Amino acid sequence: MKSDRITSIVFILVGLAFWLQTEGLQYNGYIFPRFLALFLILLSAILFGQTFRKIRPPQNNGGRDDLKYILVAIPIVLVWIILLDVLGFVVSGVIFLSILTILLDLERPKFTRVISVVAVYIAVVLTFWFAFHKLLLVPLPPGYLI
Amino acid sequence: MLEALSAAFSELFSIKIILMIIAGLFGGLMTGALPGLTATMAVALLVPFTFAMSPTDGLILLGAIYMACIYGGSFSAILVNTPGTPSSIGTTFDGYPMALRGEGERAILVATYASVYGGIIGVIFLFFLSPPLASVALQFGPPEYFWMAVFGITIISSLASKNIVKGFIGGAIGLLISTIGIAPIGGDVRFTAGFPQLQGGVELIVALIGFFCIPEAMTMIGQRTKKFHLAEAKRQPGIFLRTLREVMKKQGNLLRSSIIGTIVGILPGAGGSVANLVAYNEAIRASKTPEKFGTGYIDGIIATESSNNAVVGGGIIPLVTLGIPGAPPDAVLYGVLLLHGLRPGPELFTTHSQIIYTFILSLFIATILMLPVGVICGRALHRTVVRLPIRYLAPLIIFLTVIGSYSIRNNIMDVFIMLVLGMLGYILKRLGFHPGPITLGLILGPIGEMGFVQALLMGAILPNRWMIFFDRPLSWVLIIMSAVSLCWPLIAKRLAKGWKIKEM
Repeated sequence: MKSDRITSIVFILVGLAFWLQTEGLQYNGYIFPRFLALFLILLSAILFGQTFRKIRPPQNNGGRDDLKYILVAIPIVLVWIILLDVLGFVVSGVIFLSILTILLDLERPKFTRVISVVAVYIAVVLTFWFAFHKLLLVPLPPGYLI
Repeated sequence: MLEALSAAFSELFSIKIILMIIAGLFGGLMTGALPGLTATMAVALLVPFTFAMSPTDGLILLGAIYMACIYGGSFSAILVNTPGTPSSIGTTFDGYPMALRGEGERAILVATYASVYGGIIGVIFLFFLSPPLASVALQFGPPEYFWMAVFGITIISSLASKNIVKGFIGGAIGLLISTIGIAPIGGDVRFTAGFPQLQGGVELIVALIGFFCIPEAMTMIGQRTKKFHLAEAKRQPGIFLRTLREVMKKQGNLLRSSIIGTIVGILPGAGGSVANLVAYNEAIRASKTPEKFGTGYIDGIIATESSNNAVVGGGIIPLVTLGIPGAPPDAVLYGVLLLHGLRPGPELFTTHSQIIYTFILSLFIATILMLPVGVICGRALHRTVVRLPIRYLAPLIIFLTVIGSYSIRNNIMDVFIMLVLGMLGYILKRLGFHPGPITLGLILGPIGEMGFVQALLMGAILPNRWMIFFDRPLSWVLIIMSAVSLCWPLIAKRLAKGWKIKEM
């Protein structure tokens, strides 16, 4: 299969990259990773060879996902992580959770629905913040706000 | 001994102690169910609360938390395909398919019964067989640890039965990721691409959250138009007793997995993360229907959950007999013992026998009480998750992953690493690479590398240093076990053919 062929080539390159990165290390530092890199290259070569066989191993494709929403959600999560240190855990958490929930809502967002979503997340995030930050003294990302 | 035991009994059966155990169980269950918050972290977080307590009370509370946390990891493994602790990785393989079929409650009950069974077996071993078992653990040197890691890797042949090559590639990726950071011997900085934040390596929990949680949340987001809820909740009257009977019929699996858990627990550095996968592998090998594993089969949950709770008792064996912690949470317990002026080691059973017997008996009571507490919490959590619409569930899972990955080292870089590994995990999952072998590689990498390099250093006295790996009888036992495990899919096929011919 084409995807397996590309994957095996990528993994051979990854193995080679790891091998090359071990140059200049001491014997105790490189011996184990080199074995692993070789192991990965060898296995990837076998996978590459398998793609030319007539009988192919079963593929695990799972269900089809709507990539459009995933591609929108990932930048939102990324922006959230960046903003964690700026806005703080509570504020950024409420904003992010609300945006993602509204994005995933099948119905068109109405004002009352948005307000209820935000209200739910204020309660949820504050509960977590209190439990972790105040009760268990687990540090959460600080920011200029809370 | 009898005097200390009777004193321990009288101290344990008081309302205060029972309430403390129940509180510890609730706390442990909730912490265990949250991805990223491990048993080690739960025990460590609660240490300051024990300062004002007597040593006995402190140990009882932490023991209950430890036991419940390991079990609580199964909740999220079953309900959202995310192991709450590394000890529940194997539970996702069969627990989540059951939840998707609407049998989440049954899966939680199976996990509860198996956890209680495994916990009890571990404590029984702790009580009766501590000294001889601890001395066996001392026979393990670096070559044996290396071969143990190799044996662990061979489990992939059972885990990835659909495509073994892809399974081993996943394992190799996990092993390579585990080498990122400072080399355990020599101190070389490796594969950090110039990021000083990577010098500490990729934290196992961060990778675990990334590889399991993020792909699951992404799948939920990607399928948002098809599903409103994650799964339908089926009402199943009489499920409590029916499931109990079903689980109790699997005595062979329960006992084998519990013994595996205890033995792995005794070995320093291994722990529940290794035990649950070894027990899962052995359950597949012993089963007459191995093809059912991974499709939502209760034997898979029984194996992983009984073994990981048996690790609790097993891990405490070397702690109290030799002063060597068996699993990471035991290292925190080691510190607690020292804080209270108790030196872990053989003298604990002579100079502070009452405290130790009270602790062991409290673990036993905590395991028994885990049954009602676990059933109540598990059912409540199951109902919440299946009723929660995906538009709330997916963001909340991502929210929990951020808390979990940040709180390990209070480092925002870990959150980025978690997201990157999560995206990688999603792509690999789409390409047919299961996250199980990758995380197995991550777990076994440090054990394997340490054993490998230390063994080579030890071998310097031999004419050929590589001969150290084949020089000791225990190494050969592990080599043979690895070879059998690796070839097992082929052996099983032959055996199955043989049985079919006989039946004809």
